[in-house]
Amino acid sequence: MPEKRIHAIRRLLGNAVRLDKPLFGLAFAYTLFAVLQPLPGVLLPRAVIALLGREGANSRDLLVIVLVFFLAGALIHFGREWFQDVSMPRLTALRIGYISDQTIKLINMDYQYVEDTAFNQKWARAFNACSGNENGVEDVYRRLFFLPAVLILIIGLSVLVSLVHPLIMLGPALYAALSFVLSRHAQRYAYARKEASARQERRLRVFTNTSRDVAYGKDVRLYDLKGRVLDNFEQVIAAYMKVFKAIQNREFLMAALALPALLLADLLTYGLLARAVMNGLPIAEFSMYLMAALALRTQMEELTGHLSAMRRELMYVEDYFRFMDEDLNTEGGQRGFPDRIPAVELAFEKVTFRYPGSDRNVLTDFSLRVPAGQRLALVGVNGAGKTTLVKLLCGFFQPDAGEVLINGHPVHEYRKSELMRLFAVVFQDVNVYAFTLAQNVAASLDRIDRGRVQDALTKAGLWDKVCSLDKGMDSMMLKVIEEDGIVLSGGEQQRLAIARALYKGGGCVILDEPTAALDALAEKDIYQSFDALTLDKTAIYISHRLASTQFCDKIALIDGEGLREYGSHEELMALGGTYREMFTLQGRYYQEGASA
Amino acid sequence: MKTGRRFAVLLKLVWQVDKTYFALLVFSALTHSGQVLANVMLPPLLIDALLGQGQGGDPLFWVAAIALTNLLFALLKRVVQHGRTVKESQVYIRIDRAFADKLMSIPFHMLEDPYYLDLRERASFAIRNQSATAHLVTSALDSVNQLVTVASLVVPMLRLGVLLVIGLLLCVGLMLLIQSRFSIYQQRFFAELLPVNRRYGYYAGQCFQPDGQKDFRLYGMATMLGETVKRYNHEINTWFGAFYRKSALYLGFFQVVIVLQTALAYAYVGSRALDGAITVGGLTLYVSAAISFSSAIIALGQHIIDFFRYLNFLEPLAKLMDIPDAETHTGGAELGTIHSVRFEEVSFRYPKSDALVLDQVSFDIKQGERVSIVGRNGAGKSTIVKLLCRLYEPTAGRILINDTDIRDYDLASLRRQLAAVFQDFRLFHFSIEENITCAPVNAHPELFHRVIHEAGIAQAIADLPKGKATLFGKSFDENATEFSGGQAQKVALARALYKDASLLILDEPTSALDPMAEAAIYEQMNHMARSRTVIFISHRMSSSVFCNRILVLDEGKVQAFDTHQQLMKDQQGLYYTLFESQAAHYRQAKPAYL
Repeated sequence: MPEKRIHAIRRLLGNAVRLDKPLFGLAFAYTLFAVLQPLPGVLLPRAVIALLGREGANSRDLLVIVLVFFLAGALIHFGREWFQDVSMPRLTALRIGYISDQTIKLINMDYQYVEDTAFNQKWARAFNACSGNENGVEDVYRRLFFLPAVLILIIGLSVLVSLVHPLIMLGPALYAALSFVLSRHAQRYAYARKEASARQERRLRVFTNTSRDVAYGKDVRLYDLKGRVLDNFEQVIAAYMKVFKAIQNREFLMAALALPALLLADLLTYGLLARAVMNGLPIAEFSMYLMAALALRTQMEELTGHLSAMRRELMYVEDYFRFMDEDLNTEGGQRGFPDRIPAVELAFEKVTFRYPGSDRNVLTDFSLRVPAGQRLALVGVNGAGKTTLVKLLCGFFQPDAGEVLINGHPVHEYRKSELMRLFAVVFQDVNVYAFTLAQNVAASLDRIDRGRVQDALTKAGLWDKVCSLDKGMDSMMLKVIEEDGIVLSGGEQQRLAIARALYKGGGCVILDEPTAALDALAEKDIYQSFDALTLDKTAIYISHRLASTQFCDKIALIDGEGLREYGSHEELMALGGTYREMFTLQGRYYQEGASA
Repeated sequence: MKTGRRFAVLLKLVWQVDKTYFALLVFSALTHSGQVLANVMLPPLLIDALLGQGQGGDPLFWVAAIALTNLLFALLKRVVQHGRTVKESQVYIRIDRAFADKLMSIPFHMLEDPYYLDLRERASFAIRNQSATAHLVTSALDSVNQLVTVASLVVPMLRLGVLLVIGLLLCVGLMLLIQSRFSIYQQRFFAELLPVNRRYGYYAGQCFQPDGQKDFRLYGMATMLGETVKRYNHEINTWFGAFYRKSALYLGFFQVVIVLQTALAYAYVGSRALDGAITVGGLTLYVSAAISFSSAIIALGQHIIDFFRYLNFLEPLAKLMDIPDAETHTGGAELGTIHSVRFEEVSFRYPKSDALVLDQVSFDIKQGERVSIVGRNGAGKSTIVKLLCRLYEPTAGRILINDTDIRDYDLASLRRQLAAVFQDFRLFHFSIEENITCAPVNAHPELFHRVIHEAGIAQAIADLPKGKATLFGKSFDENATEFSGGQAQKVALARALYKDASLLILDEPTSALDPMAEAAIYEQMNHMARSRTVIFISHRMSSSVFCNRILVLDEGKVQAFDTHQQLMKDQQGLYYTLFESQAAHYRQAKPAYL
């Protein structure tokens, strides 16, 4: 077995020792019972047949034999089953612990990986390593649990049958070895088609998801797309089955190729035992050895099964460990901010950036300075790179050239955790989580300053709503966890996000299209809380609704080429460029006496 | 739903998706029982031959016979196994497809109805998480296998004696009792665990989802999420620990009964052999026949229990599959060009909800009119669209098109006359071209060319690596394209324009567009719509200016239905308030609150 796998096994066992020592006691007890398990079955026929051959044997003797068998057998079988069953949830617990470690790593890793599709593909196997009882980590644990008993049994039974003839054990051994080698071939074949089958599975999932999505349902009906969706579904099924069948055919072929060894094993076992009887072996002994030989074969097959499954599943485990070892959470630099962060100065200097894996620059030689305390409106056509600027500021991505500066120092010189403390960002799509309202605002389970939560909710215009709830700010949000959880309207969700940003404070607040889905009055409410939100802070407001520019100090209009226009609303209107055109276009129908 | 009906629905489903599966069923059963019989019959013949008892014969002949029979059955077993793996996987996917087919065929309102939503969720859960369709099919097949085996062993068992059969059946009864008790416990356990598991799944799932990742980092939410995941870990582990301790007892006793059954077989057959009634070879034969017989009955019992359990799990699927398709709920009249639309006292509440979304709404629209519907979030604007498309039926009142109730039209002919950009429209995993034409072959290339220009998406399509043939959706194909919100909106608009319909409905069609693109669409609206009647919904109040009339909705009631000029005269009216709150920003004087 290659070094890597041994290493992965050692690490799995090491973790088990660290986390659950009693498990090893249970495994030892299990092994003890499991090793004894074939004994009654092997000895009973021998005892009964021997009794039949004895002079003067009576039914009382038979009853004693059977009773002893029953008592011993019952104890052994019960013990084996019991120790096995109570151990299994402990293996599951180990697996769930691995999932937990993984989720914690995922929510703490550098953000750039979140948007990286190649990252998800690269680690797909690592993510699958803990997905179930019968694969990856837990499967390997289970097999390691069963393995010692199988090995001991094979040794014991081999010694026993060799007493008749050493060749008897050769048959099963040959069959097991051949199956093992051939199954490796089948696995390699499947492994080479792993990407193709994963791709087809993904495509199948797209179709099952599409048909279950209510929103698709409307377009399907109105544009009569059912037939097309089903036809395409059918094509994907055909493609999937083609790959699946190819793999299954190979597996079948490999399994069939091992059959001649099975024939040999049978001929040797029965032939040699028959010869032994003809040479004087009592028939009772024959029965015992036959049972032992068959048990040996079963154990050999078990061994092959364990080893080849471990070979397969350890690949997932290795990937899991590689993922966990990967340094995905860089700390960043050394710089930090004081406890209460004053407004900061932001600057982009000749920044060029493209997303990893893309062949198009989103920003080229982009420069812009936002003085401390300024409120800047960022406007531009779709795809000009407005949201990208936010991601660069937060240090989610690094520029390919140029510098993004905070208070004159490059972003990468700051500790990541400090950057996260600096920015309060409100996005268009607000995520409310299944925690209480107060926890959603304070972003913490228990370190909650209730006074400040109330203050933030009041300033965000959500306090009246909170007072109308039975449990006030302790109301559970969403219906996922509690059936009577609270579901907020779009406008209320935005206000919750603003309250979250208010509670957080920080030195810079960023709003990214916060009103796109809101009605005119809800939009106005958001504008009205803008002052409270941006007090003593640097602020950036991104919106297609140019009305929002007017309570900002400066407006930066950007397009694919860079910063086009910069100035106050009045200055840009006087300039008579793109901003004026946009503003006039959008305001045109709002003018008195306007008509189409 | 009765078990019989449930079974019939699912049986029909499997029959429809794959008929050859049933042939495999028969072949598999014969192979299985053949192997059991061979294992029972052949070794005793070898023993008798060795001892010169019974029929005797050359031992080496029997050695060869055993080895060759084993080989044959091993091969057959692999053939069956292979066939099963392939077939079962195929049946499983096809059921998924049939499920998809059904979801696209049933009346739309059922998709949003909490009752059907729950049914759909539970059906999905049964199919995916519990693999119930796969297990149902497997347990049915295994039941048949065991049944045939039991039948084939009945004769030798009865020849041996009724007493042993009764003893073994008692053991079987005991085991099935344990099994069914355990099964009940198991079902109750998993029913109780389901909510805990769902909660755990929610929190752990959040960590894998891209949506919240920015929040987790920016607001330091990783800690609270991580702690919550750990808490549920602990809770789940406690549950499973208790479950397995119970399971260890049940299964342990189960093992004891298995040993008991072997003991019984040896005691009975052994005493018959002591009497000299059977040979040593016979002893082996009858003991293994007895053990095979009772294990087959136990397996049969287990598979039947499993079968009904999975049939139970699949009740939601059976119920869904049993819903008649939407096409059966429809009148026969054929709708041509739409000349008029009239809502008469239409009221509407969503299924299982008390709140009236629309309250006696009446209005009418004439051919060629451009009508804007405005109101606050939740005023009922999108609901009017859904009713008009007959995605829902009014709770009271009626909707007339060309003076005929829309329920009297053939549903397909009604929908042919409607084109819509829904607020939550979706693009499909087809080529860009097909997303717009909604047909595998583009019958009108000039029209296609025109609509992509009108919607302002022509350049973006031309820039794609494979142009209009490029697939949409990276989750489906790695060479496919993704669109930004604004671009997708333009594609959806092009789709609506391409459709040869006489009523065009646009629900927030420009919400993701920048001011330039938005203005371009407003400017061109009259041109694009041509002779079509247009219903327009937008939070951007400026869009209502170029409409002929505006329907103002407030909390489900019609507040006004008039021209922009008339509505602006009522300075207390909702329309004026909404309009002014946005318009103020675009005038010289700034609004008061700045």
